[in-house]
Amino acid sequence: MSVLEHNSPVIGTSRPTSARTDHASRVCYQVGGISFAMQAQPGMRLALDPGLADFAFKSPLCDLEFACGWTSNLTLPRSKPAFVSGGLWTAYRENNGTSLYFQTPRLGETPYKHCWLSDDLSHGRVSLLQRFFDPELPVYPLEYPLDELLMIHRLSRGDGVEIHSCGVVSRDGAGRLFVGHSGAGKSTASRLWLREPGIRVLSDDRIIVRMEQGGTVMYGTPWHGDAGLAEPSSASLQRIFLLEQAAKNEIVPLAPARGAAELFARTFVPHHHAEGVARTLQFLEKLTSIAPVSILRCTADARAIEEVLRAA
Amino acid sequence: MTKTQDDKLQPKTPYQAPKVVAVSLRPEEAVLGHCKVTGSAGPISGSCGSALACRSIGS
Repeated sequence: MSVLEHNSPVIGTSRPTSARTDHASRVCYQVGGISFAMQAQPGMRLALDPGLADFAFKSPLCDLEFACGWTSNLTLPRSKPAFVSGGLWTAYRENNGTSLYFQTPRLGETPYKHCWLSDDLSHGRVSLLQRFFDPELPVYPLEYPLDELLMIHRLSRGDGVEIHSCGVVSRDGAGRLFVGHSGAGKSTASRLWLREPGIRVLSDDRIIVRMEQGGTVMYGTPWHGDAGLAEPSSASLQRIFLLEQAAKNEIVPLAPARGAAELFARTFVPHHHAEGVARTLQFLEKLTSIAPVSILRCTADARAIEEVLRAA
Repeated sequence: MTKTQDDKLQPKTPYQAPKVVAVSLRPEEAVLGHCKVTGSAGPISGSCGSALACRSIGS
């Protein structure tokens, strides 16, 4: 996304846009089986972030529909925030929905973007402060972290969870989830698994897990890690491992309650939304009653892969 | 079979006192407060066109 500073020349240029998406008045993508649409008001041209190219989607009606447009004035509400992220965004309760205001020290106190999201999580509006953007260039109004925030809000209806993890699919289609905070070894594990024949990695950093009629399913996302792995496909989830770096390889099964707690600490949740947090905990309780959770103490080499395969 | 008879056949699980287990939460990662571009991993690189402040938490 290109942004202009106050009365200053362009300080960023638009990143190359997807080959699959023209600069359009409507663009859509689908992640984790949930579709998002942006519909531009006159005078705005849209383009998906290049990282979303493989997740591009076409539909006249998506699960979440957003009207996007320019505004000449954007100020923070005077009411008390519902949540201050400490980073780019702040949440407020407004007009039977959630408002997310985006600021950056680089552009001063004035928000550069506002998103209102309906309480039923089906639609919203995104307003970009026009003076910060080059109107000649296409924009992606749901630019990170908004796209991921919208996803975790939607999932917190009980639809699923987004977990800090990498998702590995073996040749027989069985999915294993390797969960961990930053630095736990998700990207390293992903690279090691890819050396095995017939292995696919859906993402090396963020996986969405949902319950569907056929069972528990894990989905790749565009929000990848250092290994840059992001695949718009899914697999049946069979086992969950919490990554811990160690000198020797060992698998330690966890009781479901402990597993749920550990997963919650590595799950992205709208923490300002009590009902969403409660539904996420219910989802994790159900998930850990179906898919066994173990700690995987592992070395950063192929011996860890062998340990997991032996345990299958 | 009555519930009482059924219970007699089941081996009793030994009582375990409740334990409090602390799990580590990283707030800076949990709230998605910072920037992480989809086009590249970790902090926004020089090739990134975004003018947003780069305080990426990386992966």
